[in-house]
Parts: sequence; structure tokens; C-alpha cells
Amino acid sequence: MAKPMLSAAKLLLMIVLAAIALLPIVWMAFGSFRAHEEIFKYASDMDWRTIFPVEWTLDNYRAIFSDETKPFGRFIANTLLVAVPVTVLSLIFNSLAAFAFAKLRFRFKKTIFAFFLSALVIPGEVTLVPSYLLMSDFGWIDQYAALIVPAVVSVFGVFLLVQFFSDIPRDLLEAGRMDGASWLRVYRSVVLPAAVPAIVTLAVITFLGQWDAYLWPLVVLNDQNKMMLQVAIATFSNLQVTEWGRILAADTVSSLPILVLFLFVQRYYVQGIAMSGIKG
Amino acid sequence: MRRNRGAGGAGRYAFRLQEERAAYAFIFPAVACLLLFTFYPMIDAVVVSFKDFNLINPQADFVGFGNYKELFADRAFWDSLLHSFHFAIVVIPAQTAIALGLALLVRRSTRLSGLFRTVYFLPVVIAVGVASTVFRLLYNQDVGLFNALLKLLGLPQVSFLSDPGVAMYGVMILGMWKSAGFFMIIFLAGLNNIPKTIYEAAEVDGASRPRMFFHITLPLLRRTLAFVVVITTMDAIKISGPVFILTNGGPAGSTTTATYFIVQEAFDQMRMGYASAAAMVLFAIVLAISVLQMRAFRTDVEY
Amino acid sequence: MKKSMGTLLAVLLATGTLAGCGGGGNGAASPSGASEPAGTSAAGENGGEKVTITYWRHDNEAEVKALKQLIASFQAKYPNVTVKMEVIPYADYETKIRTALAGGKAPDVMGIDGPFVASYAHQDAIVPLDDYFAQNGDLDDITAPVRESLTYKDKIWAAPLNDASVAMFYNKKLFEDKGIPLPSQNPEEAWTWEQVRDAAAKINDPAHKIYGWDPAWGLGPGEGSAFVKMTYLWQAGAEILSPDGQTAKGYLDSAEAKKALTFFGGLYNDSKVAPKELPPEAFESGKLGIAMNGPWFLPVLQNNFKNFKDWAVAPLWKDAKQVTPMGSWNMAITKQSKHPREAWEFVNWVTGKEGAKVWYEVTKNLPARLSVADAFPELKEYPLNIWVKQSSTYAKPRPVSPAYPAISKAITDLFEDVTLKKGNVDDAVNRAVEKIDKALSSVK
Repeated sequence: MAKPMLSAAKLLLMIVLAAIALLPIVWMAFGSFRAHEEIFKYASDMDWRTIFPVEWTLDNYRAIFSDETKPFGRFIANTLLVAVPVTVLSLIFNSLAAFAFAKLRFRFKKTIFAFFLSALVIPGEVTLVPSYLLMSDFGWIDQYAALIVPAVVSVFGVFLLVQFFSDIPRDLLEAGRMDGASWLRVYRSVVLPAAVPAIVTLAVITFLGQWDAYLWPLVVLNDQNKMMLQVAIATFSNLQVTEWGRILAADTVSSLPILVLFLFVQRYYVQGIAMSGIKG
Repeated sequence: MRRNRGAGGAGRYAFRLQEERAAYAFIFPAVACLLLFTFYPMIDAVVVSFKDFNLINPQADFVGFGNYKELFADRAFWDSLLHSFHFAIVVIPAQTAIALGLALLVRRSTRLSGLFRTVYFLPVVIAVGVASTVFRLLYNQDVGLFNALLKLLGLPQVSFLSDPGVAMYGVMILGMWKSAGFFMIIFLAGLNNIPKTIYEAAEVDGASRPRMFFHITLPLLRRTLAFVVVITTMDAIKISGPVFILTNGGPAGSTTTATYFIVQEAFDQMRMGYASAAAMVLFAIVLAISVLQMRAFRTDVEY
Repeated sequence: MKKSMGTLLAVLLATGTLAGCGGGGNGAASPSGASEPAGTSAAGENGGEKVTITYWRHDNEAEVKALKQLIASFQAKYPNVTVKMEVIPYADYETKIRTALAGGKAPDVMGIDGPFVASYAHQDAIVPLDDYFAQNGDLDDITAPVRESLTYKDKIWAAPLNDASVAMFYNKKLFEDKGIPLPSQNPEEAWTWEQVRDAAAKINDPAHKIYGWDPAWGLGPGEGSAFVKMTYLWQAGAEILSPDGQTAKGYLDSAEAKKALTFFGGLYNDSKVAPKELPPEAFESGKLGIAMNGPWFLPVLQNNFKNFKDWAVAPLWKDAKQVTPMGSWNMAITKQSKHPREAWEFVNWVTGKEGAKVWYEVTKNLPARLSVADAFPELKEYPLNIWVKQSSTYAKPRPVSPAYPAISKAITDLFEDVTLKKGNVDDAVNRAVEKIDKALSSVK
């Protein structure tokens, strides 16, 4: 008797939590289909109109995609141009480093790793100006290199992967070595397949970090044509008037690629988790 | 941790040497980038913290510990640290508990669990700027969805954005809404590494659910937990992202966190030297806490 | 911990070397920066040499449109000069431009908010324009308060795009519903604080989400917020700084200033005609009786809120004195510019007599030039005449001081203190004075 009750309560709890997670996103998405005056009109009392638009309109989307001075599609393309290479490169470099830290034996390992972790503590805003000066020395101001190269190593990513790699039994690796494989090969054929969920998580987070980036691209890029997505969205609210409808539409559009990416990799992700029973 | 498993033969030695060489090659790109793009600017910031450095004027004099002395007497700085700690002290346990709870709820590999897992992860993929903008609207006293919900439930209205006593909780809710799903994923991975056989054995012994949680799950999640707590702590004390859009440090400075203070001093007041000094103090504090946490969790298993 | 110290040293050494090679690589790769060769015409002639002028400013649809027009006509007149304008989100414009200045990558011409001119001048980031103005700038045509606001150490450092002023906006329908007599449209007949408060009290109905008065663009930080809040101090007869700009003591803590702060705090906490939090677009959606705004608000009302017809404009309220805020965005030439002469020709093209007319036609911003105010009849009629009259007669510049960023923050903090913290006005004022004086002493 107790069990079905318990699982019904559990299901209810899960649904409530899901509602909490979804509500702001749903409100945003539906809000982007409202006319300017309607966005705040029905929000004082809760009814269906609080969430769903009364009169659906695509004006906000038309506005953001038809503004010639702000080619929104181009900003998305720009952001992809940076986010994709950063994600790929950062996965390679970070997983290699994490593999070494988690599984290989070498001198000064602990010290170097502690050093890595201490970098996690530095707030990025603080080093904004010195970093800018460095980019300026490299001649990278107004170049995508300034966004890509410094981003390919993420201490957080290394830390995260070290956690996962640590669970891979070393015997498995040494077996590979005894068969004559190089460490690089062991990394490719043993470590990476065993850590798919971690890699996928890190990929999503890295990509999101780039998609989300605001301050750094704002500062290092000057040319309007190179503008990144979040910077472009920020231009919708200026001194005189905030175009809420357009902001919600831009926010919705900018969230879509990440959602698609996540839904796409989620499959591997779940599969990966199931697979990582290799330990036992 | 290096373990000298007795000096074997020459072959063993060559093997080790190769391993070491491979390891250095593997970490080299990361180390080089880190030194260049993180530590070099950081050291630059250390130097600047001893200067009377105005942001838009490269001419600056060394002032020794002048910035630090002024900082220790600056109430606004201490207040901002307090705000950061307030945020951290609430968010670290609450968010960790929520994330772990979510992970336990959806740990089964059924289709339904997968669906909820996706839903719980969704807030993570919403950009900070986007989430902050949306929450700012949702928090509005009159036309915000949250207050409409409270009203529906017969609860009093809350001024999330204009009551200095409440605003920080608004920032916390946003922070947790946005991050809990991410740490849920980390916990899920950790949970999956606990062999099912242990639970099965415990069940045979007649152990209750809570007992299994405290005696099997938690201890075996130790390293995951350590990771989550350390990362959450660093993020929490450095919190500033949502503050910029949601509250601008207000009302009445009640959500001015340490990082927000630093950015204000550096870019609004153009006092780069002073801001860098504040950053160094913040750095020292976060580092000290992280070291203590690592010690507490003794997370150095097999590094 | 000991170990970490050792590592830190190691890194110090390592980064030293790495930074070295970074610097070395610099010479090879710099296709992005200034595209013209090093040999520049120091001053004067626009010979045949091609010159590119970079110009950064914050985003604003109408203003950017006007500038595109002006840049096109400028380039037609000076074919050897190319102007490259970059538009930056308003919220982080200062962060961006200041970082670029720090990195030696500043544009030739920058948009600059009036009260920050003294800071930039004091830090040697921009150049004085007196000689240029003397040649062909028609300085006398610029209104006196604007000139004053851009003058630091007896030199003028920026050319104004336009001026700004705020007037009282009110909701006619809410007034009439409560039988409140409407305020006069005559700029000489401004309502007093008490008149406005009494009207607001009749309108105020928080239970039905109708609010009386938003006296100064809400609470909170930012230059816009400081811009309007300082006005209350001045209207009561107080000053923020001493005439020599050396101290706030004896001025910001005067009885007049405290009276203004007490009145302002009372609006939120005693009579409660002012809400601490407003819904977005409260006035435009008919939920707010009285607000303040500038002429830039007219096109917003006409374009974005076509169905809202209940608004009307009256002169800004007064107390012991009739004082209105003023000052807006300007153009300045950075010290880093390699082509200050061409930069000036561009600045003067945009802000000079002819350019300013185009600017007004497109942006409808309040002109900073007398000749422009004369050239458009609409500026002599309601409602625009209210702002024009205010800007020439009652306008007062914000303190011209290199410590202005600290002053601005101290003022917004002060107003927040007395409304949200409901603290003692004396204590709040003393804290503000202390902060400002500390900042003043550090820029001497």
C-alpha cells in the first residue's frame, strides 16, 4: 500500500519541480509572440493569459530578423564560428590534460594540479584589462583569435574530467600499454569511450559558455560585423526605450541552438551513463 | 600521488619515463595557455594592485600597500564581501541538496526519468543574461509572474527587487534555478558509478532507504560531492553575473557582491589599482576556503 | 601552501619568458589595427593622403541613423577621409571605451557623457578643442550651460551633439478623474513640490495598481539616476560642491540639502505617493499619474504607444528655486588619435551649425546650439518650448570635477539610503560628504 502512495508523491514532486524549471522559459518563449502592450497586461492575476498570448504575433521575430543595421542571423553565425572551434579544441586539450592528471604518473603532478585549481579562483572580470593588454600585444584586438585561443583551456573542464577519469581502473590502461599501444592510443581507445557522459557534459557547458559570453567579446571586438550574439541582444535595450518583445524574441532564438544541441547529445549522454558501468 | 612501487628493472624504468614524457606532452598545451592567458594577466593585476592606477591613464605611481590599507578601512568592500558570503552560505548547501535530490529522483534509466532529467537540465542551457532579464520581469511586484503565483496561492506579495532585505534571496533563487540542473548531472554520473550490487546486498540485509542513502550513497559519492561543493563555493563567492542585470547591486547596495564591487571600482570609478587590490583579497579568501575544503574532503585519491 | 608559493615563483619565471615571446610575435601580426602607414600628416592639411577616423559611441536607433547620414555627407566633402563608426550597447559603453583607452586602442573620436569630460581631461585621455573651436567651431552659438558643463581648467574638451532637459509628464485622465486642476504649460509657471505631491496623493491608489508619482526615474544606480536626483538638491537651494570644487563639506550637508532629502524620502515612506517599485512602462500604460522625462520621450509615445493619448507636458516642478537638469552626449577627440585635425573636421561636421540641424531633424533631441533652436518653429511651441526654455534659463550643469564618477555614485547611494534604508538623513549625508571629499582629495 505504501509503495504506490510513495511513488505517486514522488511523481507529483517531480512534476512540481519540472514546472519550476520550465515556467520562466515557457513564459519567455510565449512572451516573444506577444505584442508590446500585451507583455505585462495580464500578469497581475494568474490565469491562462498570464502564460499564453491572447493575440499571437510574429512581429518581434520579424523585427529582429529584418533590422538591416543588426543582422541577427549574422550574429548567430559569428557566434557559431567562435563557439564550435573553442568547444572542439577545448575538449581535446582539456581531456588530454585531465587524462594525465587523473591516470598518469609524473613528477610535480600534485603541485601542477593545485596550480591549475588555483586558476579557478581568479574572477575573470579582474584580469579583463591585463588580458586586453595582452591581446593588444599580440595584435589580436578585433580578431576572433582573441576569443578562441584563450578559451581553449578551461580549468573547470580539466577538473571535471579528472573526476570522471579517476574512476577508470588503471589496470585497463596498463593492459592497453602492454599490448604495445602508445599512451595517446590508450587515451583514444580506452579513456575517451569510457567517459562519454563527461565529455558530452563538458561540450555542452563549453559551448554554452561561448554562446553566453558577453563582456570579453564586447571588449575585444570592435567591428560591428564581427559582433557576437549576447552583445547584439544587449543593444535592444538602450537609454530611451527597452524593446521587451524583441528582447524576449532574441532571447528565445538565442536559446534554441543550445536546446537543440542538448537534445541531440542527451541521447549519447544517457547512453554514456548507462555504459559507464565498466568499473564493476 | 607518486608511489614508488620498488625500482623495477630497466624496462620498467623506461616504461615510467615514457609515461612521464607522455604526461608532460598531454598537459603542455593546457599549461602553456593557462600560464599565458590566466596567470600572466593575474600577475599583471598583482602589480597593478600596488599602483595608483587609473583605468584610462597608463601613468601610475607605486603606492605600496596604499590600496590595501584603504581597502581594509572601506566599509563598502566589507559589506560586499558579506553579501557574497551570504549568497554562498545559503546557496552552497541548498543548491547541493537540491541537485542531489534531483539526481536521486531521476537516476533510473527509464524513459520518464530521462524526460524529467532533460527538463531539469533546461535552465542550465539558458544564458545568464537571458535568465536574468526574464527573472527581472518575473520578479516585478505588480506584473511579475511570481507574484501572480503567490497571489494565487493566497500568499503575500514579495518585493523581490525593491526590498533590500529580500533582493539577495531573489538573486539566490535565480542562481539556484540556473545551476541546480548542472550539478544534478554531475551527481548522476557519480551515482552511476556506485555498483548496483552494493544496494542489492543491503536490501537483502533489510536496510531501509534512508539508511542506504546515508551508509552507501553518501560515502560513495564523496568525491563527487567534494567536486560539487568546491566548484559551487568558488562560483558562489565570485557571483556577479546575475547581479548586473537583475539588481545592479541594489536596492540600496544590498546585492553588491565582492565581484560586483570590484567591477564597479575598476570600470565605473576607473580605480583599477584599488579594484585589483580588492580582487587580490577576494582571491586569497576563495583560495583559502578551497584549500580547507579540499583538506576536509581529502579528495586527493589517486591523483 | 608552502608548495604553492614555490610554484608561484616558478610561474613568475615561466610567464616572464612566455610573455617575452608573445611580445616578439607582436610585430609580425597586426593586420587589424590602424590600417594607414605610420607617416601621418601631423596637423593641418587634408592632403591627398587617405585617413581613417574611428568613432565609437553608444547605441541609439535615431542617433545612429542621423550619424550615418552625416558621415555620408562628410565623406563626400572630404573624400580622403573615411569614418568608421562602431556602435556599442549603452550599458557597457564606458567599460569598453575605458578598456580600449587603457590598452592604447582607443578610437580617434569618442562619444562622451557630459559630466565625465573632466575625468577624461584630468587623466589626459582627451585633447582640448579651444584652438579648433576658435578656427571654425562657432563656440558662441552653443548655450552657456552646455559650454560651462564641458569646460574644465578653462578649456573646452568636447563638442555637444545636443542638450537634454526633463519636464513633468502627467496623465490628464487621472487628473481629471480626481478633479485635479491641470498644471500650466507655461515654463514660467512651474508647480511646486507640494502641489505635485498633493496631486499625486489624490491619484495614488496602490490597491488598484495606480501610482501617484515617480519623482526621479525610480531608485538605483547609474548616471541617468544621478542626473535627475541632483535636481532636487539644487531646487531646494543646496549645492553639491563648493564653488572651487574642492569639497562637499558645508554644501551637500547644508540644511537645504537635508530638506530636499527629507522631502524625497517622505514621498516613499510617509505620504507614500511614490512606489519603490514600478511595473515596466507604468506611465505609458496609464498606471502612473506623474513622471518626468525629456523630449526624446515624445517619439516613443507616438510610435510605441499609439493608443495612449492621455499624456500632457508641464514644466518641471520647483522648490525654493526653479532648476532643471541638463547635459547630454558629446564628441571628444582622444589623445591617442593620430589624426586630430581630421577628427576635428568630422566632429565639427556633425556638431557644427549645419550638422546640428540635421541631427535635430532626425533625432528630435534638444539642440545645444541657439541657431538650431531658432531655425525650427516647433521648438517655440508646446510642448517642445518647455524644454527649450528650461535649458536656456533654468538649466544647471552637474559638478565639473575629475572626481565626478565618485560624486555621481555618492548621490545615487544617498537618495537610496534615505528612501530604502529609511536611515537618519544626517548620517547618510555625512557618509556621502566623506566619500566625495575622499575622492576629491585623491584627484588633486
